[in-house]
Amino acid sequence: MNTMLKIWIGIGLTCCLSYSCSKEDKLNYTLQNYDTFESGAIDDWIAKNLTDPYNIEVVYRYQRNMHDVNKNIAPADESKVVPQMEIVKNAFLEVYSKIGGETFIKTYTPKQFALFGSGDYDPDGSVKGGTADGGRRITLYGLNGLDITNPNAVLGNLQVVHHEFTHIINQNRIIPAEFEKVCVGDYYSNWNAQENTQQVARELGFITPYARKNVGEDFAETLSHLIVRGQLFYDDYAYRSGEEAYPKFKEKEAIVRDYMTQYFNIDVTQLQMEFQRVLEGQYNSDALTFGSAVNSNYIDALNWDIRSDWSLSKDISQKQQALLNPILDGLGNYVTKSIQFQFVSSTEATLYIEFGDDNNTWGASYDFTIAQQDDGTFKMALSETQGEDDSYSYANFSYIISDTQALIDYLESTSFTLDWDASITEVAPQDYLKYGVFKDVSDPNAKLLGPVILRTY
Amino acid sequence: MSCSKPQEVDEIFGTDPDTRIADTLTYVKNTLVDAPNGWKAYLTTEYSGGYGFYMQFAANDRLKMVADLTDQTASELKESTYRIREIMAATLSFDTYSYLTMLQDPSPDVYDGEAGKGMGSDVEFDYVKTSGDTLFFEGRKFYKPLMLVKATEAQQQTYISGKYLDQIEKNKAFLKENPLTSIVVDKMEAEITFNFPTKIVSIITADADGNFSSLSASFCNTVDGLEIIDGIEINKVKIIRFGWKDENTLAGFDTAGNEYPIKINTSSIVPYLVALGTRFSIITVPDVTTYNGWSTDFVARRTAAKAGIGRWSFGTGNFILHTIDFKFQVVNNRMSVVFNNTYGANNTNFVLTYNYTYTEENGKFKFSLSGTPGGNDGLIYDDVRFILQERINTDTFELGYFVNSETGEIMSQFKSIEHPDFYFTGLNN
Repeated sequence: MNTMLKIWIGIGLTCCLSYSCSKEDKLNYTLQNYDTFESGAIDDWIAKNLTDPYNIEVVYRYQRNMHDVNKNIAPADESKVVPQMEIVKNAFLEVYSKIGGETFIKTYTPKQFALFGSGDYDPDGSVKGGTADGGRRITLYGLNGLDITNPNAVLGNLQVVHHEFTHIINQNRIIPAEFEKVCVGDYYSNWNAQENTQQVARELGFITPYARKNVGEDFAETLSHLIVRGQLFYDDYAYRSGEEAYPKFKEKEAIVRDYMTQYFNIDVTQLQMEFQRVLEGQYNSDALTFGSAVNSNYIDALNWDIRSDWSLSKDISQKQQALLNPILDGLGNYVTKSIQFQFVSSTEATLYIEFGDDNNTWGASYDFTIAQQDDGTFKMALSETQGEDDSYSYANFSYIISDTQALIDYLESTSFTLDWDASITEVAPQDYLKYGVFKDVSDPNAKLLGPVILRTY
Repeated sequence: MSCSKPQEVDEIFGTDPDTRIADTLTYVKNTLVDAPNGWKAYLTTEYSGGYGFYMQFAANDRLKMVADLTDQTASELKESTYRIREIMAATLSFDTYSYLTMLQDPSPDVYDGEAGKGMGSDVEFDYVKTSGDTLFFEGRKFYKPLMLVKATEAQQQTYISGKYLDQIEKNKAFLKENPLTSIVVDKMEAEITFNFPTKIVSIITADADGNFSSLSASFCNTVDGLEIIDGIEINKVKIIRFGWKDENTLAGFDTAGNEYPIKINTSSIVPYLVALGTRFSIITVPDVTTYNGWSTDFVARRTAAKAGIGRWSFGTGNFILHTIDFKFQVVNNRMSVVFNNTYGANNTNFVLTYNYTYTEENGKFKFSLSGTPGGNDGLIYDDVRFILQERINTDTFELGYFVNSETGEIMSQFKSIEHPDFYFTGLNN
């Protein structure tokens, strides 16, 4: 039998110490709360995996005082408790344990998780996924809808967990003053107001409308998005928030990274990598793959200029050399200056080559459509209507097309898988998210590799 | 540590509160666990009717149940946890997900409850009292009763072998086949209508002067019939359940165990013209494309009117027709046809209303439009001509009861005399 007597003991001690010498007569009495329950298999799992190693209590049996008492919130289905807490363990506790060290996570982890089956419905019809109280307890709602075969459902609660954890470490090492200066004057306690739309918030440099609430929420949203949504999401979101907002996003990121390194000796890139390893290794998530990044249009271009320094340390396939060398060794009498495969949208791309002489530079462009097939591979085709500027006419000059035709034919006739050059289990931190590759499905030795170029101002 | 000797306590009730509450907690838990054949349980809800359960409590906080919510809940035992907690009283808490908590779930996709409120039910129930073989509890938030009655061995076997569903099907089938039933209590006839989707039973009685009165109560299915959870009073007698006498005979029972056989009728004890304006005053044509008791011509005309209304908008999404209400004010012979529409992303309501006066003779109604429709009603009037100008305004209609052959529900039907191919039904509200 577990009993919940600790709070009573605590109060009892306080009162004895403070009032033990008062003249009033004391009643020789204590009251106990007989809130007891029988533990079962789930409790054993929690004890072994969470309470013993991390001193974490999981309240999965309904307790009204763990949620807003004015709401109606359904209890958790027993069958969802272990899967949910396994997600917390794998994609939060163990991620930090590995990167920040066991002592770090055992010291700072929230000590109580409360689980509920339904969402937390607000009068306006919105549904909350999770909340946290003063860094001690994290409450997760909507457990009964959890489907661990659906990676997106797995991601759902993790952002809340990582967000709340950030508050706890902030309570131990305060947020650097320069963080607040980035968006000073734009914080807005009434963040839930209608006028604080996502658009308004992002143009001011906030990753979510909620981040505007105060500097603490902003910091927590920044770090949790960097980890859970990933670096490419963050960079793309920053870029699409506009030229004024972009540097604010990047500055906040830099301060957050610096804070984690300086105070806790944690490299945020390592956290991102470990998080991705768990998602892909244990939950079959493709949310953070190169293919998903292309589908989400996070990436500006791949640099295919294999004459550059980057290629020295890379294994460039015979195929890529055979296709690109005729282009790179000059077009007609001109020098080839660069070649990029540029992503225009999630379904369109442009092969762009710059050429010229000492005084002039011109471009040659070929527009492609790019489409993911049902089997996950990608196929490309020259677009029926090409662009109209001069580069599209130059592209068809005979001394150019004669060198590019082989590459175009290859792109059109091949099914590719889109991957990072090194898998998440093998990649070195300095190469993480840096090299994208088109792998020929029919020939394991053939691939087109290049450094990823992101959009910036 | 203290400087003065603590004062001893004078215990008015003989034992201290700790011991007394511990006694109650132990009593409730032991009673639940010790019942050899488990418990039949009934509860009512705030926003719906009653629900029936069978529960088996084990000493290790585990609980098995079936319930008459869905086919699955009636046939598959679901295991979950419970505990007896000391909150304000001894509280029975269904503290992990079970069929019972489906009624409380605020997500509409779980059991079609209201968003944020569910069916208006509870997870925690305070112990109130014991009476004979029955334990009474009350929901902590919605204050609805939960009754646990000791089951017999035969009942237990039926519940846990999946045959509860068969009994529910049997109840439904009988009452669908025989939608007009009544019982007679000391010469007073009471017509009984069980609504299975809402789990509410309504009763209509006529007194010696021909005045009708109606009552309703929550009911649920049991393996022996139907339980009227709070009972329903007919002629000063409280009917508490309906039970199967044999394969084909259902009878009502009062608190003393007296029996009131069910009569199967072919027409309502309340004449239609009496019911209209007293039992119901709105006939609602549901938001569907075809329906029980609609003629092909009505289906086509309703579709045409829907398309006509759908041509219009306020620039934020076209109007979408949903239900059509025929609202009667019998006292002054008025009737309004109300087209209920929505538009836009938030499904904002938009209503078109056309007012009529009517004359009635031998159940035949003749409607005359009052004045000329103005405003939006006037603008869109031409688009509903398929139903109004070409039929309601010009024809004579016979109104009467119509029994939905799919649900057994008693509805109203409009039949045009001049156009025998034009008839339709609606729900009585």
